Amino acid sequence: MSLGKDILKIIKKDKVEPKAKWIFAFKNIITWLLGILSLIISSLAVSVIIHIIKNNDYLFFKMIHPSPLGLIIKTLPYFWIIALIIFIIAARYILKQTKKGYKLELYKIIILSIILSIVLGNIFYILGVGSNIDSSFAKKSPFYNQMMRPRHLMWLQEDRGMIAGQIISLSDPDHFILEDFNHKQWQVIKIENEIMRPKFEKMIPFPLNLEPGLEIRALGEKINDQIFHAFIIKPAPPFSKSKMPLPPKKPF
Amino acid sequence: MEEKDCLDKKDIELVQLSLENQDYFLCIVKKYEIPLMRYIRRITNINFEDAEDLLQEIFIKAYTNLNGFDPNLKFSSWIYRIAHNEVISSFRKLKVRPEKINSEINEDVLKKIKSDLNIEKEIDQKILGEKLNQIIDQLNVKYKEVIILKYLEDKTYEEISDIIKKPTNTVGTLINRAKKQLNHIMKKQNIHLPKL
Repeated sequence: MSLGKDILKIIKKDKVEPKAKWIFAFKNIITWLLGILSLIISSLAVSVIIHIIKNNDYLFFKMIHPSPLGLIIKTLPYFWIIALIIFIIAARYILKQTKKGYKLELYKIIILSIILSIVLGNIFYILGVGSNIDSSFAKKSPFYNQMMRPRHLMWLQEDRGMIAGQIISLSDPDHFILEDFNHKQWQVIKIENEIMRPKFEKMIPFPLNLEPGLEIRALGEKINDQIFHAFIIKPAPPFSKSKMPLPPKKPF
Repeated sequence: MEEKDCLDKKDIELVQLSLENQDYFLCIVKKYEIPLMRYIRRITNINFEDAEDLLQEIFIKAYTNLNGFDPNLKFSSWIYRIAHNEVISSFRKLKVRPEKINSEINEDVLKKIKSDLNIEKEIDQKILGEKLNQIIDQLNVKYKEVIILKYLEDKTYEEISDIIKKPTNTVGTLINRAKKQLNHIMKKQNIHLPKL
């Protein structure tokens, strides 16, 4: 018996049927959806990267950190950079599974994915998505907060004049109790420092309304284990720009 | 199904007819069994019986996926792609690598390879044919496959790209590297070649 007849016999005996057309159409749609999903996730990673870099307080840290390069290396958002790489690779792999995806060369797919991720990532950042993701990760995952946000930890150096945490109570606008991110309580006294303030003035766009529950970071001087003199006070991540209270309107 | 029923019918028509009446699939099998068997035996070291089993699996897979055939693609590229995938998965299943090439290098193939590699004319055809068999056999699998598809199966870059699912430029690069490796091995085996 010929091979062809053998094959037909198997097809008839085992009732082999061609798969329905919709299965291939469905598979194609799922592939594209997965590709788009990977691209959206990589764009979200870009929006968080932009948010973190823009809120990295380089000007602050430059004053106290011996090496600017070391500072950049220490504060890069590696978690999100790795997420970006993984999802760009995933998008490339998924795109290859589409009908004509394999025709595109690897570098073209990667460049295209990076460009699309940056464009979409910027849009997400402008919409405040980056800061929302960063803060919800920080709130829900202690691991993320400790390991993935080194800049957060950099503010917990009271001996170097840096402190960050949540305001517990306020006795007056210049005196408040702060619980730092290590859960240690400080009595913070706001001090006008004429030498330091002008250097950082441009980083504080408007006077901050201090209130209990607000997360802040302060630059100043540790007086003792309980008292800290704050020269500059800024909102702390995850209290990002998008969530800041509106600046007071200037009178006409 | 008679021979005459298959004649003068294009592949795309045979696909449509097979979907309506499975007996027409015999026409597809008849048309492709010899080239696919040759292709399988060229890139694997399996014996005829095993190659026949593999071929059977390839045709059954092709039949079950007939609705997934993209008419923008040549049917021959599509069915060679299925064969390529099945061969690769058979390597994985059996954990074997192709060791010995089963190719009959005829004069036409020899001419093409000679002109591409600038092999001197005075080399005896028979000796060169035998040597080339051994040399292709020594190539890295990814190079061996493109050389087989290009020179022995007479496929274009575009068709190879569709079969192995790699960009056309990558196919060109693979063929160039394969030719360099071929030349390198030939030099080692004392077949004198001018510069490529």
